[in-house]
Amino acid sequence: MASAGSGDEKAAAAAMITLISSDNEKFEVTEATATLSQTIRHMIEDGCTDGGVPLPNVTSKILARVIEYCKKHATAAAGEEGSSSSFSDAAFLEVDRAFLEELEEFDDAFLEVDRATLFDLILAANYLDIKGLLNLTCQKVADSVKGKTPEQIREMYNIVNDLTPEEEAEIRRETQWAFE
Amino acid sequence: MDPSEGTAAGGGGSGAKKSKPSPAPPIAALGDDILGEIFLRLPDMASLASAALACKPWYRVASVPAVFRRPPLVGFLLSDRGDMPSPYRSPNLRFVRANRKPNLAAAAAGGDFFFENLPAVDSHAEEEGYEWNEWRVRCCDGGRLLLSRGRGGLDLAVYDPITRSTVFLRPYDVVRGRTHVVRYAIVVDEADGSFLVIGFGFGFRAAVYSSRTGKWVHIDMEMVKLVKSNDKYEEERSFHSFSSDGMAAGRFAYWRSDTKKHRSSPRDSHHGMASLHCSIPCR
Repeated sequence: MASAGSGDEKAAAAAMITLISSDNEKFEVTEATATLSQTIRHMIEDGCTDGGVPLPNVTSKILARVIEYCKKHATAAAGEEGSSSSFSDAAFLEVDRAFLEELEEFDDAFLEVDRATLFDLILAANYLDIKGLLNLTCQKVADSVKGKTPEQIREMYNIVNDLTPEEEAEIRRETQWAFE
Repeated sequence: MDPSEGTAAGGGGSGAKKSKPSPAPPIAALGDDILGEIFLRLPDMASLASAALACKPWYRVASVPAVFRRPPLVGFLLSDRGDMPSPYRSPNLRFVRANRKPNLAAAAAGGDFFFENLPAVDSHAEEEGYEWNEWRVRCCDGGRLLLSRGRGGLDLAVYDPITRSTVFLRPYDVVRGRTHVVRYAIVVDEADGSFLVIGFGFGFRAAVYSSRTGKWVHIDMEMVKLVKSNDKYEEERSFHSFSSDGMAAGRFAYWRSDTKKHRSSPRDSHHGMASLHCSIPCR
C-alpha cells in the first residue's frame, strides 16, 4: 500500500482512510477507493472513521484483495467523471474502450482464485456493500452452475442431497417446462 | 456439509490456504440472500431448475418469487384501434405467438385470446359503430387481462386467457360521475396469483379492488403521490384525469397525464408528463 502522497499534505492526508482487518493489519487507502464500499461511505458520512475502520469480518488476506479491486475500479470511476465534461469525440471513445477492456481483463484475472477465497470475497463484498464486486463474484459462481446437472452441482459444491425421491420427482414435474 | 465455517469467519488470516485440493468449501456459509443473488445471475431457467434439485435449501431459495422468474412469454396481443380513443370502440386484436417451444405453443393454442369464452350479452348498441357489448382490453399484468364492456366501461372482467378463468367486477357504486373516463390498472401478485384493480375516475376519485377480499375500497388520495412537472396545473384545474389506462411496474402502478396534449396556456411550453404513483400493498 505505498500510499506516500507527495505534496498536498493536508488534502491528501484528509482523504486517507485506515482500514483494520480482523487480524489487526492496517491498510491505508484513499477515500475514493474506500467509498466504493457503501458501508464505509456511510461511516465516513457519519464521521466515525477517526482512528481507523475496524472490519472484524474481513481477514487481511481478503481485505488486501478487496482493496486491490477497489483501487482499480475507483480509478475507472474517476476517469468516467472527468470524461463526461471534456471529452466526447471518437478519439476519446477509443481510449474509453481500451480502458474498459483493461478493466475487464483485470476482473477476469482477479477472479482466478480458489473457491474458498471466492466465497470469502463474496462475503466481504456483501458486508462492505461493494455492488460491483458482489456482482462480479456472484456471477462467477452462477457461471460455474450454468448448464450443470443437479448431480454435477452437488459434486462441485459438496452438497448432500436431502431431497426425498418423492420431493425430487415433484420438483422435476414443476420445472419440466424449463428443460424443454 | 460440515459446519466448519472457518473461511467465512476468517480465523486469523491464512490458516486454510492451499493445504488440500478442495476441502469442501462451505457454500452454505454464504447464506440464503447471497445464494439468491447467485441464482438471479443464472442465464436460463434450466440452470435454475437444476440448482433447485440440488438440495432442500437450494430448492427453497430457488422458489422465492423474486428468484424464480415467471415462465417465458407465450405471446402478446396487438391491438389497433385506429384513431379512436379507448375504450369507446373495440380495437382489432391480433395474438402474436412469441415462442415456438412445443409446450408453450400448446399453451398458446389452448388459450382464448379473443375472449370467446366470455359470456355474450344482449346488444344495446345505441350508436352505430360503437360496440358497447364487446369486451375491450384495458390493461394487463402477470398474464391477466383487464377487460371492460359497456358504455361507461364499468363492466369489468379479469381474464386469464390460458386457463380461461374469469373474475367479474362491477365498480358501479365506487366510481360514479363521468364514468367513461375511469382509468384502470391491474397489478398481479405472482406469488399467489391474487390481483388488485385500481380505478381512477374524474377528479382523481379512486378505488381499489382486491381479489383477496373481493371488495372495492376507496383510496384515500392523501396517501397518493401526484408528481407534476409544473405545479401550475393544480391551480388551473386543467388536469382532472389521466389520458390512458395505467400499468404496473415493480411495487407501483403508473398513469400518464394528458397535460401535454391539453395545455391551458399556449404561452407556456409545458412538458407535462405527470405520473401518479401509488404504492401497492401487495404483501
